Amino acid sequence: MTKLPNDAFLRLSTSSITSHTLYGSHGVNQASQVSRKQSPYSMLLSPGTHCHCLLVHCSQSLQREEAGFRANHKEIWFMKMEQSPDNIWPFITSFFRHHPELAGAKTSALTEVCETGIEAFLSASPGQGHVHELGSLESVGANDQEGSLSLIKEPHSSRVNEHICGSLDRTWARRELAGAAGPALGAQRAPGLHSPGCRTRPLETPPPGVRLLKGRGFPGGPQSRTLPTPSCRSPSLRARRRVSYPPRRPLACALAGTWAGRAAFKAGATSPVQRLAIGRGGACRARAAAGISTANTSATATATATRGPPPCAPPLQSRIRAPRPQPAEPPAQHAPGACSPRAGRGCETLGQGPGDRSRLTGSEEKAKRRNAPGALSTSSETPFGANIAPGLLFQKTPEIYSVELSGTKDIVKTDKGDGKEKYRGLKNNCLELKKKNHKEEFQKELHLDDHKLSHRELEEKYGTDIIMGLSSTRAAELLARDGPNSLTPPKQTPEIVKFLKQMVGGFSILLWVGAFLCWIAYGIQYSSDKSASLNNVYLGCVLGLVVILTGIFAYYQEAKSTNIMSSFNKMIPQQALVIRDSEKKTIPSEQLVVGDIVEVKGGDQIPADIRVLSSQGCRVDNSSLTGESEPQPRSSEFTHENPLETKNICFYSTTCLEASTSPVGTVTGMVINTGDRTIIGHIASLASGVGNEKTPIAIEIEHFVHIVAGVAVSIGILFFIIAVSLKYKVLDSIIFLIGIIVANVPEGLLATVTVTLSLTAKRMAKKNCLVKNLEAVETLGSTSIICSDKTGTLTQNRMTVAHLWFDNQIFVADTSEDHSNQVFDQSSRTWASLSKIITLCNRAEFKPGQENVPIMKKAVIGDASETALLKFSEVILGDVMEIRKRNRKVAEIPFNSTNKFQLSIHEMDDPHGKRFLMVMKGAPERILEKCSTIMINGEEHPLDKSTAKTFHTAYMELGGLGERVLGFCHLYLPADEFPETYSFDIDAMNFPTSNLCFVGLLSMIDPPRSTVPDAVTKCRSAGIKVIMVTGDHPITAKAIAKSVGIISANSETVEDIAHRLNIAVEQVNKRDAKAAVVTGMELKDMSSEQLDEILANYQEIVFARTSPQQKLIIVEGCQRQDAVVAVTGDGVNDSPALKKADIGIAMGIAGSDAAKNAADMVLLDDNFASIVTGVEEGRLIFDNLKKTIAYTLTKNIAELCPFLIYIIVGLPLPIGTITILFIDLGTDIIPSIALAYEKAESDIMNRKPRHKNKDRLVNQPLAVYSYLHIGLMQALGAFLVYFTVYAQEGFLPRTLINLRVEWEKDYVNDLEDSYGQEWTRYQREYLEWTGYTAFFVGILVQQIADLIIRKTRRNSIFQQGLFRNKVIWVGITSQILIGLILSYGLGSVTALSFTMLRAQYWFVAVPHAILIWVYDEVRKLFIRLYPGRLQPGPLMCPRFLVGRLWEGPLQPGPLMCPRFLVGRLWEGPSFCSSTREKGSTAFPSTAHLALTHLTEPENYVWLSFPHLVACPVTSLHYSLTRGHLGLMALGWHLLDRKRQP
Amino acid sequence: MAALQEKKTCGQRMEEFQRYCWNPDTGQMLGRTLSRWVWISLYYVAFYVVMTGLFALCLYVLMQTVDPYTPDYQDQLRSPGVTLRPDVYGEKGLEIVYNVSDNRTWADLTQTLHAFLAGYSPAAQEDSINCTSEQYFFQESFRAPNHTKFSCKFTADMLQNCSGLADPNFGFEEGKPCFIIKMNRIVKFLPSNGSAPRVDCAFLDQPRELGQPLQVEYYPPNGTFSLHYFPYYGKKAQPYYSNPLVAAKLLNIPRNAEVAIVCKVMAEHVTFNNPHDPYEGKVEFKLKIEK
Repeated sequence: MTKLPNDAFLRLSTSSITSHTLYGSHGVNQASQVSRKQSPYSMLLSPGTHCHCLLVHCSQSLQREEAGFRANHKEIWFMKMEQSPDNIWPFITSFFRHHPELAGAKTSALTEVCETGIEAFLSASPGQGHVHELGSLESVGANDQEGSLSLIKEPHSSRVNEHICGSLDRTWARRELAGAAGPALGAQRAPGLHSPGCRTRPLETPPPGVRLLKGRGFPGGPQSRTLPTPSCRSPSLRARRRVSYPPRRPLACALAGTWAGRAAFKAGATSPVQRLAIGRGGACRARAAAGISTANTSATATATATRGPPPCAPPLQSRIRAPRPQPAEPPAQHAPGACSPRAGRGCETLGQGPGDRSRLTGSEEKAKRRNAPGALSTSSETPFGANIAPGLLFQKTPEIYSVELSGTKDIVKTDKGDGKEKYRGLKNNCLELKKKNHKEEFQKELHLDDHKLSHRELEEKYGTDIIMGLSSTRAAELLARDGPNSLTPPKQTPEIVKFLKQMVGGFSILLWVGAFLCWIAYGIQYSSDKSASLNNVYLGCVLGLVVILTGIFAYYQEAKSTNIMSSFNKMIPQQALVIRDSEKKTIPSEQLVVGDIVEVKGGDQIPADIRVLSSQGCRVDNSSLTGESEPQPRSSEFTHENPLETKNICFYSTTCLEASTSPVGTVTGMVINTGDRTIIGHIASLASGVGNEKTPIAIEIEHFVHIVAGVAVSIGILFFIIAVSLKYKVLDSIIFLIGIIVANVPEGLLATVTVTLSLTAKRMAKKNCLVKNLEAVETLGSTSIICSDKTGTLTQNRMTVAHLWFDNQIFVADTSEDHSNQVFDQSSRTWASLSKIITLCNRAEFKPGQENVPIMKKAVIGDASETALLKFSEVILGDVMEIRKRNRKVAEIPFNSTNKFQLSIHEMDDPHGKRFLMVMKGAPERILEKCSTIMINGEEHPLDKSTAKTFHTAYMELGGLGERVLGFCHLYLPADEFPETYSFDIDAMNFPTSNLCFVGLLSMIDPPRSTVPDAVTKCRSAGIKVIMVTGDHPITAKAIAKSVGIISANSETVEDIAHRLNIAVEQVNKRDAKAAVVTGMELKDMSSEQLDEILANYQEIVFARTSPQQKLIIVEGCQRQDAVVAVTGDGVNDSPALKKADIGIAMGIAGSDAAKNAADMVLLDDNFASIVTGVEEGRLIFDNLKKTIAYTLTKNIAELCPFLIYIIVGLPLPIGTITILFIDLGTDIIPSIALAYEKAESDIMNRKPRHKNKDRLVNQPLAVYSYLHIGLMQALGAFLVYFTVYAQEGFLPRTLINLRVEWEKDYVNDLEDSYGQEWTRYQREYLEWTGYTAFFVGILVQQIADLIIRKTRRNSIFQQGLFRNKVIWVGITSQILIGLILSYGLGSVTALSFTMLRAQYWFVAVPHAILIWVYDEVRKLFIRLYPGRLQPGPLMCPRFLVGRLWEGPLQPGPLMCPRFLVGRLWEGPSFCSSTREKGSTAFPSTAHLALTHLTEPENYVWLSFPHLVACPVTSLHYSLTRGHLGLMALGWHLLDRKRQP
Repeated sequence: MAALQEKKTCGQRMEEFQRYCWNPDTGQMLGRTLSRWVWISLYYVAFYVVMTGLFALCLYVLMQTVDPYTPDYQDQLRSPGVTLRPDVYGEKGLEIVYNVSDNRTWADLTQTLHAFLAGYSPAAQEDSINCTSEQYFFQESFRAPNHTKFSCKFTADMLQNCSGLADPNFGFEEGKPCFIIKMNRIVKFLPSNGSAPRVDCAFLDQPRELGQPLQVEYYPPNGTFSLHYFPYYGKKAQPYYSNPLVAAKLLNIPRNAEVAIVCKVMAEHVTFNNPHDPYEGKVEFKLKIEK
């Protein structure tokens, strides 16, 4: 294992390639192996276990063939053989995905190497490693362990030039070349290299000068047509096509070219002229390379270089702009017009101008700098910089793409500073070259017609130059004029405005009024009496402080939740490769302006709306814009009037696709619209135009604020009037007013609500619902219609084998997420054959390194169907790769759309004699055509009409299920005709492809996620209509809808009825159909009334084949039904619908940013079930908010009453304003938040969604009950404490009446109490404070009872469990603790007007607290006993009272329960559900859970389940296997008997 | 989020409101039918009656627990307040300003004193007994008529020169006014351990023009509250109790200058240094006598 030291060529390169040592011996072996295998698809070199360098021959099929790799390769070379070079990237990408263990290796890609040349080269230097310096013109970003490769837009023609020139000028390099390259060349000239196929190989002696330069290596002139390559390439290719070709085909043309180039350099580089010439040639070459590098267009470049027409762009052009290799094949590149004389002139000018010199010099310096050892070392540190290899002028081929894989970081660093310096030298020249039309005016046109224009017209229109791009100055001007190329974010309210809104929103305004009244009162007092006490000022300040603090708090909460989103949205700034000043620059895409020439590679986002000037195999994913899920090809042709349809426009934010199966897309285009003027920008502005209306909860809170404020203000004014008429001073009356307002306003409530919502938002985030807008938390709960996507949301988004058909029978395969139990009959011999075909005729493979991953979760290379088949067979048969290894593949025809089949031939591991098995799969009808027999029970039967008919029936049936059906057939090739050594030629098809034996059918579907049926059921039971809106085919959509329960098992569409009754669709009574499948086409012709009718009349609706735009129509239709609509969406085009929806739900995985921006919620797992979780949480939060508000409102009366009594009865003030604030903002905050943790008291998912206008958060009963019942009781309790304190201090209650005036007189210092004692003012005041404290304690104690009773609204506390919600107890503890601290800790602080209260006063209100509890329990009992017709309540029935229960696993029987115990029966659609709460499984309750009065109707209620069958078996199954059949949310086990179905 | 609130016109709202007030279809007024209203009113009446009853019961129980003679706690009356007559309050406390030569300016003041001392006329005091013990007058049992305890007489004449009997102008006219100092009652309060509490008046800050301290004549002599007025057994036990008084005749008040005077009650259990309460154990007042 010798390893050559770095040789000259290598050192010239600053690339990451340090040494590439290929072992000749291995090479030889491998080469011979290749030939022996007689397969064109194989790896060229696989140098065993210990070679540190790996040469990978990446022909098309190699992706599947490199299985034998070992891990410790330090370097990997990718050779591109027959494919266009742009395919190497996806290949490399996928290669590293499969071989993560190789991720650390240095990687180079050789493209366009005449493969045999390499072989020859390798074989020619046996035993001795050799070093290629092949130059790296393209850098590829480092990847991470997962092997994701990002392509970096890097080299520029100019840079390449610099490299070249720099290299040329360096004498040391030359010396090295002379010295070290010599032997290398010598080595090349091994006899084996002399191949007849390479007649024009100019290798023997390196002839000096230009002639040779213009040869293979330098397609700078017309001579390039006489390149040696074609002559060597074609035979080689042909050789590859033939199934076998002799080993060591000594065509070293590519290398020859390289060496010739080097030799030429060596010989001719001494003269400046020649150098220049070389430079030019190199430039052309570099152009080509750079073209490849950025746009991966080297297929054409290659074509140009090898067999295409001469490149018409003169060499120097390449220095100005990125190369546009001229089209050799039709779809590629821009029209010949691009090779305009103008450009040519430009080149000449440049070439001869003095600037050229300077430029060269500049670049030389650059190159020197770059090649300086320091630079080298730095660059090798950064994976990226390391890859910037100078393209050596003497190598036309092979090109090297260099990839450095750094396992740890994926930071991509561009050498920006470097670039800037570089461009500086060029600037002047380029300015000279500027076109005069730069100053042409732009026309902002919303209507695009750029796609109709020719390149020239475009240039004129945008004042740009396709070759040179815009000048920086012009670009700067345009940038200043048009603004950055980014979408204006949806109008953000300035932070200060948001903050101020919090300050004046809700109750704040009332409190401000109070504060100002305080100050005004003080003002009046002060004006009359300079010594007026500052109490009012303090109170005003405290009120103001309260507002500000709660405002800050709410603002903080809001900002925090916004931050979660914004961090979520944070994207890596996008870069764009743009040509400016004739140079390629990487700039942030925000800086793009119209007229910029940009290059986009596969995988990149299109940085702006661009008009395609040239493209190579580009496909764009327009799904986010138009919803088309198919990648759309893009070329420079104008194909359609409509700019959205034409092929030559790419749209901002769409993605240029990169896929291993399709060529990597590359696009060069001109920016025609930027920022908000792009199509996406228009859509985005449309979305932001859809007003952001108030959320339901915001409306509810507003409603609540209105109620409370109304109450406060009206009571305040009423008592103001009363006070004035009671001869109080106006000033005093104002003070009363303030007190009343303060008492009435629940200051802490809004903060509590915010916290509660954000707590729920957090909880939802844990369950994968990321809520952007806090208030959306509740909206989801009130949702009544969900419009859901299918793919990915309802389904698993992966193909899975669903059915099999063989032996004239359909078998069902398990489609659950884990594929666990495949229960179909596997004993048939047909299955053995079928499984063999499934296994062998499949190119998909598991990625390595996933041994511990469950099969269904393993990553696979291959398309969706093949993946499905692979996993299916892996699950059933075990190690598929092992089976494939045993049955070696000898030939293969991959699937293509014309053939519609895939075929491969395998050596059988049959011990009885080797024979070949041909296996084939494909479209069933095509497969059947090729068959003459059919296998039934392992025996071949002739395929007659009847069997064909059964086939068709099965095919139709499976197809009718919306499944993708594949046919499988095979043929054992007779051993006599096809001996072991037979060489199969797939081009010549020297094997039979007809009269095969048909084996079976297999159908696949993207199955629903296993959680979805349950979730849909839950939605139904929750009264939520689930509408599927999909772009998929109606049949598939319907099948999925049926399987997830969106269309229930027993409901039919009009078409179904027509089919069943065998009548025409028109004859069917539409009322009979419960379900409807509406296609986009039908929808298009519908008026909104018709749509309304459909939405209103059908319970179960599927919209199929809809364009995403129609989603908006559907949403609007739903909203016309007065529904709260939730919409899921992922595309940009969904964003208006998402905005329009009451709650837009974007997909976290598949969703585009626009969708996420427009949405109110993001589903992190794209799973429908998460929505249901969200609904549950939303409903719970609504309930809990009700509880919180009820809790908070209650004490308001207790706080208000003192003022009223004070005014009317004239008691000394029982509670001060400050003390009230301490209750509202001190003791009550934590308990009211604790209510947010309360569990649902009944199965909230069995309730209808709340009606947004009827089911208010704060309704009359709630307010009345809080104020007039509990509140009043609380007030009485608190007064009792107050009276007790006063009485025990000497003021008996009756003395207190009308004592107020005397009490408050400052100059009465001898006020008599009931005992004749005399009190000074201060002594009275202190007593008053004690009274405050007592009243406070009274409220506090009763609020504890209030808190406990608010835990439930209908259930008894004992049903709910007193200790289930631990947070409540934390709240109670905190309440008491704060009370203690206030009384005993701060009792000495006079300003707070708290005093140390005797311990016994804490217990005075306890009986009242108990009374409250008892009263509320009684109320709840009455509610349960006499539920209103529409009042949902729990259905409960104690276990021992239940008469008869389930007879068997699936046999429902009547459930009997004394009537008075039945809480509620709800009339709604039928549903089943199961809660996951421990110990209780929900009851399958239905609308038809009817009250049936039987013989003794008074005594019993019979609950029967006639529609049980309608429940998905799973949920019932779940109930029964758990053995618990509880009734809703009570946790009462009705059935404990374990039953196994 | 879509619009969830439909806009209603004013007319619609009015109509809705009207319908809410009286719905002819269902016979509902304000959302309830008449019978429902009756029922709900009955419920509320019953509810409030019960609640009031409960509360009254609570208060009754409370009253039962309270001792009618002595308050349960007197922690807030540790030291008695002291008040002054005549009491004319200015912006900051007591301020007495009058002109010697203008009897209208002090007529009100003397009138106040006369009115105050009316309660100390022998007629008013006739239900009390004469006490001379100068010791605490402890009464364990209710020996007085009507199950009460005896109270000691304090008649105006005990104030001698300041009783208003000899000098109905209380010295105001000559610029040597009398002020009556009263100590607040506290049930079962004992001011000291044997020595009688004494009033001590002085300038709060010595006026410069007057080289000498305040000269005061106290009535009764020495300005003491006799101990036999203590302890006080409460209104119920001692319905005729009247506070003992001390009159202070200020002799050397400078003319035309405002002087601040403080009169403290000097006794062991009377404190006068509570920073919060300016009337505890002392009384401060400003006096300005114009000429």
